[in-house]
Amino acid sequence: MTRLAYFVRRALESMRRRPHVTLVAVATIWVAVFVTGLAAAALSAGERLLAGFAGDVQVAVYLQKGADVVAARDAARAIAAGRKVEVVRPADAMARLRASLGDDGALLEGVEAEVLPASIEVNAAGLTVTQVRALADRLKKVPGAKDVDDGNAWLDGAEQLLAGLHAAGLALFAGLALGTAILVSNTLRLGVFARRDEIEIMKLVGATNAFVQAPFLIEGLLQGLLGAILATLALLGVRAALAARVGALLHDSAALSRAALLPGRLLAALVLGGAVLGLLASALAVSRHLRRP
Amino acid sequence: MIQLFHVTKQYAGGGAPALDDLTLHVKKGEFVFLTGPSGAGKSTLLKLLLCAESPTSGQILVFGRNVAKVQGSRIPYIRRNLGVVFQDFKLLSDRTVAENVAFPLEVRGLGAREVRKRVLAILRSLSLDTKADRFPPALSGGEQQRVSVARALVGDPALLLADEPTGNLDAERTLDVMDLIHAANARGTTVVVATHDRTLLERYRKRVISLENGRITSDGELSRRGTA
Repeated sequence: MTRLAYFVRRALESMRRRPHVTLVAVATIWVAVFVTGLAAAALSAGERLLAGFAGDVQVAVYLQKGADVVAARDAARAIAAGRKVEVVRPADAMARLRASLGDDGALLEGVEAEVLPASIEVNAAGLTVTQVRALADRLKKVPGAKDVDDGNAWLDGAEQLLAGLHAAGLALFAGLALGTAILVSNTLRLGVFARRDEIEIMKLVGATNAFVQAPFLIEGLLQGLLGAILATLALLGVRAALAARVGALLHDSAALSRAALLPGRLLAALVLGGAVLGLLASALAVSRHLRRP
Repeated sequence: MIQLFHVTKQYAGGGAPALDDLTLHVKKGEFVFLTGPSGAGKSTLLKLLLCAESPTSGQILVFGRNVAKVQGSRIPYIRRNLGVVFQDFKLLSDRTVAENVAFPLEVRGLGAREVRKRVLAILRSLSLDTKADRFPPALSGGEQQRVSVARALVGDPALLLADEPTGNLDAERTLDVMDLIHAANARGTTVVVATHDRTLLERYRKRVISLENGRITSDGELSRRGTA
């Protein structure tokens, strides 16, 4: 039997012998991973929502008076290849303005269309806020461009809010990870405390600290893995239930898809995080019993 | 094998030292009884030899190593050459007899087959083979004591430290255990046995070191000294 197999057998034996301690440790890690996953999915949904809003807008390049509209349009087409690019002449702009004012459009009687600048409109459908901004930046190079409106000014606040939530999410995750590590460590410490005689005897018959520690670390790792896998399964279950109940009501039907809310990378990170959490907590719990000779 | 030079052990909290300026030498292959009243320092001396405690002052050489100054990470390797019988047995109640005895061999990384072979052999020699799958709480005090002896001897240690190894045994079992320890000594194991049992000292006629208040009061074979 290899050393690793021996340690794994010892860890599994210990989990079988103390099912209550194992259950509490797994449940603690389950809660931590589930809450973290839920927060990550909510942030992901928020970002997708914001991107959806951005996708409906157009980027407008306002031209200086006397600018060559055709040259500007061609330049915009070259920059935004594949996108719909439209020239809006002053007369068209005035007509739109009148229409938008409705009954008050009469107020514009006598105002010459030339007071409004010609513009080039580029459709930005399907782009995220960041991508729209990048496109607007590139369109500033259109010859004769005076100003570029990415149409997302109102989204600035929302984007800042989301960035704040992102930071808060990270802080929450860090705090949660630390809190859970302490909680799981205390839980595992109960198990280690119950086995302090075993640790003492192992050391007295010549076990090195690594030999004593290994089964505990494997036990923590397995408990972490188990808790994390159960938590990710629960997250997938919640997502499926949510999609079945409210998915049809949403404009963006893909918003509740597994790939959008719980992408594979996130699930892998949650499982890995849970395992590492169990491992660290276990290391913390057993270390104090190894200090004595 | 064992050399102590002016060893003093003073526990925190003051009071008289558990060991007071002790100097002694035990040769390789020797069989030594430590005796003396409770609190004389016998168990403390064994703990120092086991590296479970450090002396307050003085030097202790075991296998030529100064255990008073040895690095913590080296202690396990020293202990692997030791077999220890504890006064309170120190058996794991949730492990079977065989698993308890197998511990020192597993720590050394021996294969499962070799471990099983050696464990069965030592259990057989102590008439414990029928109890291999029992848990310690299901055994009598004497049986637990013999399991503790089996665990100490299973690895063929170079040095055996035994703290009252026959304290819970009847006369017949005492002889069984002592014969086994004696046999280990005959195979080359150096033996240090702490005991109150005067009949043991008289029966085996080995070197007897008497301690009192942490000091050696006499040292020599019982037959030569007449008393212990």
